[in-house]
Amino acid sequence: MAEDFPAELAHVLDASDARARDLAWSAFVNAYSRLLLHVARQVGRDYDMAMDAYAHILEQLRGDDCHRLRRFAADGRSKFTTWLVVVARRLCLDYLRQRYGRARRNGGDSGGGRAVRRCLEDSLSERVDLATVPDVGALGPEGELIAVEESKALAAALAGLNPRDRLLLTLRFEDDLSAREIGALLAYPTPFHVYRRISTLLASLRAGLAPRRHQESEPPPLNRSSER
Amino acid sequence: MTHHGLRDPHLEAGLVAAYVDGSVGTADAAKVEAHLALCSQCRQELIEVRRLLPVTARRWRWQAVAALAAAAVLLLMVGRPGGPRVSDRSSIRGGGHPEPLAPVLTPAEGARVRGGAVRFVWHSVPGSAAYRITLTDERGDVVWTTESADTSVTPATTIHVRGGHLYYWSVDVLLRDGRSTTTGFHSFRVAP
Repeated sequence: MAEDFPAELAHVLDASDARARDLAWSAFVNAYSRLLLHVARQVGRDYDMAMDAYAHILEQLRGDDCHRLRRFAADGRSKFTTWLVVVARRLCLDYLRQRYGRARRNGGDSGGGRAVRRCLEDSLSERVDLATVPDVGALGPEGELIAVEESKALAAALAGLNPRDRLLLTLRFEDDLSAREIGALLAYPTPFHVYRRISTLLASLRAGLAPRRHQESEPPPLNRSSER
Repeated sequence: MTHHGLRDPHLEAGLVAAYVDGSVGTADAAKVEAHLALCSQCRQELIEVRRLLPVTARRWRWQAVAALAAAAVLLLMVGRPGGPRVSDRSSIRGGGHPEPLAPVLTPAEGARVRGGAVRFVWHSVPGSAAYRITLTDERGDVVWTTESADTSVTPATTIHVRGGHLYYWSVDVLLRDGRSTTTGFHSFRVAP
């Protein structure tokens, strides 16, 4: 995106001598210090930590003949400010990890969308007649097998969704984001559109899984043939 | 797409930024979304970057595209009586802005239209099998939807759009190889 290539960045990258580099760097810092401080304050836990992280960002951006900034110049798919926020946040996190150790994460990886599956399983069970569902606990190993099969069926149904829909369900049920935030991330015009899409997806998953549930609630045909 | 190495399988910074800006192509967007659906670390990064940015970059981008398209339509309509034809639309494509998604022509983003005169026009997409047009109201309720092989369509007269209200429309492009792409949602307001 050539139109998003800022003059301050161009001057830093094109400076021919040390004095020109210093002047260009000062102008660059003036232009972007507010944004970088904002990132550092959000990532650092207190004032001192944030200021250390800010200094680290500047040092890393300027280090090695501005090789990080040159990477943007070579790529340039996004707006510079968006790219700068991503890179500054990563630098902050690296710095804080080096200095204070790795923070304990709340979630960890999705593990194939366990939370989404759990939510969908709950949602499905609300709509199935309990009398038709075998008591999994009472069925012992057979019940466990049914539960595993159901979970596999749900995983397969989720895998069959397109990536955007899978991400939508993950943001809603795994990350617990509001419809407004999801709308901003995935470019839905209003939260209502997010709700509608989620409802449509849940309905189609339910429709796809309901026949399987009915089949499983019937006695297995293999048992009948073995009794003969 | 991701860092090529066993140690760091996450999305590159440039790709995350481009996704937030809405400037990745359809194929890359699908790959990014597939990765994000499984990687909580990259998802968290996306969420926090979006929170750190003050404006909806993606929306601005769409407005710029819509304004560009509207200007192109205006030029064509002034230049040739009878309005845009299919060949006109392909010449607009040839004019070549780098938008990777399927762009719309009219109603442009934020346009104000007369209730009885809503006509939807969008660019043709190479390899398309059909287009699905969806019109929703402010609450996201689907007011009207239809499929078309053409790149313009007018709702039946029985479809009632209310004066003074905001509506959203989108076109899903179904490709012959089974994939699909979309214009995303665009808003217009019906004149009171």
